[in-house]
Amino acid sequence: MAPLMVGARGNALARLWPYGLLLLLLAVLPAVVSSYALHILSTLGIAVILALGLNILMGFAGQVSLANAAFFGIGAYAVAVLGNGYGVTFWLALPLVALLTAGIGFLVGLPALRVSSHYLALATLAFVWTVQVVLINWVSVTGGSPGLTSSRSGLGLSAFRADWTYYLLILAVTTVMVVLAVNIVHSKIGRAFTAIRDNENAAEIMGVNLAKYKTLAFAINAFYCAVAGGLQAGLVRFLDPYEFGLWPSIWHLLYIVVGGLGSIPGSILGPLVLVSLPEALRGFAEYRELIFAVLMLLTLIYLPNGIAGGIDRLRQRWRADRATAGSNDTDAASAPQRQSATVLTTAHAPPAHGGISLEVAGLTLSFGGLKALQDASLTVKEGEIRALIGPNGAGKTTFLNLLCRVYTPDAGTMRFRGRSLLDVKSHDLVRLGIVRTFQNIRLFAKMTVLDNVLVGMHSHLDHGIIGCAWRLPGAMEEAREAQRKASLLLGYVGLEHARDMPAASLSFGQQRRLELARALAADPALLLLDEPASGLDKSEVAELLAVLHTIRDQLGVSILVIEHDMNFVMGLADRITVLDHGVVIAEGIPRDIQRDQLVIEAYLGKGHALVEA
Amino acid sequence: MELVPQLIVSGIAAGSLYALVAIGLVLIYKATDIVNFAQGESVTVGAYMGWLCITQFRLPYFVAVVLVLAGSALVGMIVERVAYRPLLKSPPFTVILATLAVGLIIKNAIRLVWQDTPRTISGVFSAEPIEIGSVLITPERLAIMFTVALVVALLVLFFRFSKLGKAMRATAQSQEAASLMGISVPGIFSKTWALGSALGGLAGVLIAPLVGINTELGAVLVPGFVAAVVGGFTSIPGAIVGGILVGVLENLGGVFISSSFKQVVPFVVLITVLMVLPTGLFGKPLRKAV
Amino acid sequence: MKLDGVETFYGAVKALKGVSFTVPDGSIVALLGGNGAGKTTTLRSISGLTTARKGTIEFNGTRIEKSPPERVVGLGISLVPQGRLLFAELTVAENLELGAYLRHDSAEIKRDIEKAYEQFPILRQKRAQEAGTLSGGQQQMVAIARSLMSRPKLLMLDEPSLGLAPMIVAEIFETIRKIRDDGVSILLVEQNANMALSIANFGYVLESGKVVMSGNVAQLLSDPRVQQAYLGQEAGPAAPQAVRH
Repeated sequence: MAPLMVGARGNALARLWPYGLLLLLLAVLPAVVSSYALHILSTLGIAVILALGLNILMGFAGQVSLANAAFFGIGAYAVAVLGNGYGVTFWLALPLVALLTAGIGFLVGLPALRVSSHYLALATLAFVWTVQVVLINWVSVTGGSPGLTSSRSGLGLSAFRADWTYYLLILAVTTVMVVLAVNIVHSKIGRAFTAIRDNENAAEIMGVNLAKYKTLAFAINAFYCAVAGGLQAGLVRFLDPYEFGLWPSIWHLLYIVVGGLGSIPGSILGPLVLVSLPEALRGFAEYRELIFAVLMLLTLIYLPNGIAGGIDRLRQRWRADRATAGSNDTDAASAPQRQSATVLTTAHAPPAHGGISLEVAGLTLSFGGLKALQDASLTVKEGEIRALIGPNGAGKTTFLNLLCRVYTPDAGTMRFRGRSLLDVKSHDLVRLGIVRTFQNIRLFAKMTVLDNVLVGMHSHLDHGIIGCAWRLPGAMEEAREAQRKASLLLGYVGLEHARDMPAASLSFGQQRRLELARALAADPALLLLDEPASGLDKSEVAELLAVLHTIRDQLGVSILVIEHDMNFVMGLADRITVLDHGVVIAEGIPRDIQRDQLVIEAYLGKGHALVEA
Repeated sequence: MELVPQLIVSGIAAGSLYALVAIGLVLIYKATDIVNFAQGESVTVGAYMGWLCITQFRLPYFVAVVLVLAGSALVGMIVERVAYRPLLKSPPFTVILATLAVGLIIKNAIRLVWQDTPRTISGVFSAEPIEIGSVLITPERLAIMFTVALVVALLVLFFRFSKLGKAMRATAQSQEAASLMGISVPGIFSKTWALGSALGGLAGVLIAPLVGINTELGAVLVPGFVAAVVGGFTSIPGAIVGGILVGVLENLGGVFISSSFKQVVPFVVLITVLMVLPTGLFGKPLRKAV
Repeated sequence: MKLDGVETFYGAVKALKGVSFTVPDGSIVALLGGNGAGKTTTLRSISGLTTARKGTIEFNGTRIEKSPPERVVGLGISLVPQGRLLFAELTVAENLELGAYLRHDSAEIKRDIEKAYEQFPILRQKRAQEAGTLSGGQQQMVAIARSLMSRPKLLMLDEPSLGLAPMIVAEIFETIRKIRDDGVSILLVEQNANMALSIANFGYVLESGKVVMSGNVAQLLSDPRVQQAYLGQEAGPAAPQAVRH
């Protein structure tokens, strides 16, 4: 499905008309199909909503959940009980219940902040089990294990008593839910979800608040399930508590696994196949679950991205074939003109704190008995490029991890422009203007090159879920501006031709440049680079050297770099600090460091005879 | 209040089976980093195998138990080879889904062959309660507790003294170092799945005389998952303590809170542990690494 | 043992760009170079922990570049990995026993364990202790002793001095020399170039995945390029004084 992205309105219309036509076709179906077929189509609509909600949570945000059917059940029972029991009209009950269920989803998502995916699966398993036990045993409200009767007139839906009218209602709601899902996943929020899925650490460094977005994903999931549940309460005459347990949850998983994890079209294709197939195979009813479970396993092994992923791959292959058959114009694109850095501006005010960017004093940290860092101090001036070097195990990475608030020091102070970093959270560093890159490059592998850079701007985009989901003008304006800036940045690092490719498909050197572009997108005042030259060949290293000097010279960004490649360090750094066994043993300009006896001993061992100063 | 000792003892009896399931989970998780959501189905498989041996082939119960151990181990190895080996490099998430799929496949395969008709087997020990002190307990419950204790003891000896047991412990700690010793890591995975499934199967054939056999039998021992989490998921003693704790709490909760919500107790325990003490009672705190 | 044109990748990164060298029988060969030069990757490629994409690795006439680690060990190549990778929750004695996993001569294994205790008397005292509770130097001893338990013909050591006090390092290197004297060939990766060259017969210097220099110890010790490999080429003009902390 073409993303409903920013762009000229007329353009969007041209792209959207096939969907409009499809919708129209679906809307006139009741005139030609049987009421049984209508029932199946209605079930399909509900299944699509369930799959969308689950896919946003699992496929996009990467959080495992077995609780889908529980939220579905809560929605169905709550709407049914409110309508049939208390006379609350469907139109009030549905949004109310959906919002309340979203709140429950938020609570269920809380363990996600502390535990790994296995435990999360268990926690959500516990939830689905608990809900089912409650549905079965709270007989006075839920009717217990025989189930609960429900009717559309009881829900205040007399106008939709005819099956075809109710089908149209489901079609309308499903369409809205699809559009909202598309908008969400293509907004800042969807990018934050995918970023968390692809790499939590990098997402956090880019300013994504993990707690907020993980629980938000659960809330959205619960919201979708509850809406589906409310529709279900009107569709069937009878709610069966066994339809809302663990196995139905796995059934919903099957929708998105077969359709395609992390794909909106997949959330429609999966249910389409799985709801219509059993109708085609009605003679084999008893084999149904078995066939589907085998299908799920085979999909996981052989088609990990589902039907949607398979179609994408075919399309890419087809495109590639056409490209090689056609003119050879790709060379021109892969050697782009690099734009000047002057197109960029930093949002951070010029130095205010006596020209000192980073001031670290007396930093100490022990792991068990081992002193990883001992009384380490270092001051980076505004606009300075400082290198931190030392033999393996000297404590360089520990130093960086302390700065980035992965560890908390046993003693010492860390100040950035005069502000202490000790009470700052990882995801807030970027707001202060500190951004790091990683030794083993942590891009969001499955996101496009452009989206990677856009995640870099996450902390500068202010619009929330409402603006993103409904594409309000303010949010759209902000998104367009972000795209414009991201394109400039990509031009700057020579990756504009690759903007719509997944980051994982880039060469290693390109990935390094992309990581740099993503860091620059956050408007940093201080860049922390963890071995930026590792894995690059000689010409790429030379290029990186030039780019980093430009970044400093034109943007005034201060840089603290850890690096092994000494030729690179000696050419790059203004000053060098040397760590050995957690202690700072020297500081000075490159040439002096190379001749420093302590440094030589640290690297080559004592009593090295071959040094001639 | 005089009920309490009785509740505790029957809680321990139920808990010992949870512990058996939990140990199977823990072994597989430690070696392969997979939480086997199909462990409940290995319980079901064990029960059906037992039924087959006893009522169809007319074998004595003890012979049936031995055959169940061997058969379950074989099923475990086959499943590992077919379903999980191809997914070694997949994200944990995919593997979780795969175990769920395997569970569904096993359950439905059994259903296809033997339908949903409940089956029963009779154990060798009496279901007539005897009185020990102020506590009533049936000999068959006692036998289960005794069997679990015996199995745990054998496992301890196996891991402490046998070459394979040591290789399994080594692999759980560092797969890379283990392979440098000449240990075939895939081989260890396969044997671990065999062992874990055998323990599940044993739990099945032990519980079958008490509750009957149907395709949902595995669900009866779902609190075994809770037991594993309570114990920290990486420790066998933890799994045992967790199992007994869950069994006892479930019984106490059933009486003092509400009998119809007895089944919820383990999950309340689970969520509490996850929120308050995510590494369980015996898990080691991890420093978040980058 | 002989490597010829070995190329190894980590994901998209080419870590080894055609490494070739030989380890003659009964000698100590030192593999030198700065961080990230590819020393560890070379050892991992030989031991089968990472598979070389191109090139050949030959050991006593057998091609091993595609062999899994357990087969390489069986052929008589043992690696003492960086960071030691002991089984921390197993006892010292159990660690040693696992070193002999592929052997079936239990009487001989017992004798070899005795021999290890004679070589490192402190390990006899600590044999029932969990390996993770030992000091760094003792752990290094366990790691070396464990590797010897497979009775290797070639012992590879990856940074045995890392994180150890100078006195312990001297002791470890003395042990390495003894092992060579017992007829085991040694391939030694070491950042501490002086220490390595003090016991080696021959050395190779790696720089960004390639062998850039080789020679006997005397040649390497007098070559200023060795230092450059660690600290980079001469930088610009000197400032008056480096600050000392």
